[in-house]
Amino acid sequence: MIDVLFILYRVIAGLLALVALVNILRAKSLEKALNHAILFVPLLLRTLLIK
Amino acid sequence: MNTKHILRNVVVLLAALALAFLAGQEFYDLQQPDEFYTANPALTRIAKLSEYNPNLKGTAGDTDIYVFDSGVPGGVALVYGGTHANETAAVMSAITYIENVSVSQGKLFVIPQANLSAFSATLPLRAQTGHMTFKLTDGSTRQVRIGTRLANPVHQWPDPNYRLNTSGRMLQHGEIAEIRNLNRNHPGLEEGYLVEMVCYGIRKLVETENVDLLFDGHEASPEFRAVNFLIAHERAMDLGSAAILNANLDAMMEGNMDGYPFKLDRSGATSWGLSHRALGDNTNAMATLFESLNPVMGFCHDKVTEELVKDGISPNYVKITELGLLNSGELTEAGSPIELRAAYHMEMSRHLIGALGELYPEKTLTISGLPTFNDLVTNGFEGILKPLK
Repeated sequence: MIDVLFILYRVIAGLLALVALVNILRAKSLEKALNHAILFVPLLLRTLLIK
Repeated sequence: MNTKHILRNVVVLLAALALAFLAGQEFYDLQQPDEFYTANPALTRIAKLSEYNPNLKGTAGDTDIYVFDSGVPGGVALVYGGTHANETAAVMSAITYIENVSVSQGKLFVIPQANLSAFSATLPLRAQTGHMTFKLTDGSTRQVRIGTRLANPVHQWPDPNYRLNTSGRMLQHGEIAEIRNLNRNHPGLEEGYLVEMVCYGIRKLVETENVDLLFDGHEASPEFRAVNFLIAHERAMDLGSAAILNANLDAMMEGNMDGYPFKLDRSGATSWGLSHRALGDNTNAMATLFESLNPVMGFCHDKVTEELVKDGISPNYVKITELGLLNSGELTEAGSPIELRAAYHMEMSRHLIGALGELYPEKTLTISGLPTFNDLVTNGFEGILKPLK
């Protein structure tokens, strides 16, 4: 059960990281791009189970 | 969207990736195991905790156990550090055992990193250093990780909303993260949360190997009442008294007429899940726990740099002491260096082992080869640790 939750967690974190990545590329202002970049870093590290 | 925007956004993305790489590299390094010196001829074998709880096999909780078996019947002791991975003196004390101890009667088990997972992360938002490095006399270096008091959420997640653990301790609200604290979940569960399974492994080790004496090394904040206290299960009180008496006699023989600042306290009846209570109640071992003083643990700690961890010089606590708010005797400008703190651990555990044979001759465990208090304090770990190659 815990293993399934862990996989689910990584999938969700990975999808959110992908959304953040797309949002960085589509941002209309520098502030918005930076906002999404700040979200993207921890989401990526979570997906990779590094932090 | 025009080309200028796309170019700008790509630059932001590349900067974010670079930041993730740099931060990730540091976090990833913390997940790599420490290298220990294993050429001590007295070392019989290196066991795994999963030998005592197979559910730990392949997990981040499967820590190494260093076994020193004389082959001569006698007492059995377990000395371990790293229950809390940021309580560095206990870890260094266990490492000093591994590199130097020799056993001529009985059997000794040493675990330097009891909560192995906790060595792979530091506390968020604390800007704590993740390693301590010692430059040895031959020019080589030794590095040991500094972690945190809880297992890494990367290895044990999610924390439940409520847990009545095997010790009877209710974990809920602000205390729920303690489900990742090794010293709140004894005697543990064969199959449960990772830390509960580690606790169970230690319990089975104690039961299977008929461990007579258990020594769990810790460090505490200067504000904590029980700094430099040996906390003993009621069955270990005689042992603790004899050990402190002998340690002080030894200190006086070596010219330290003030002796050591050791005190003895009985394990609290409601210290649920703590090693001295739960393993004392649930096994035949005489369970003890020792706390040295480490300014890093305190509420008013300075920036947790490698220097603070190693030298224990804390301007904040010197000021607090000058104001008369605390008086441990160790919060001076000279600091509370890791060698002094580890030497306290070594003296306490060594004399507990000695007292075991004095009070129970059939449980005699004879050890030698450990550096003396003065050796450690004078030469430092730079002069005591052995080069790896």
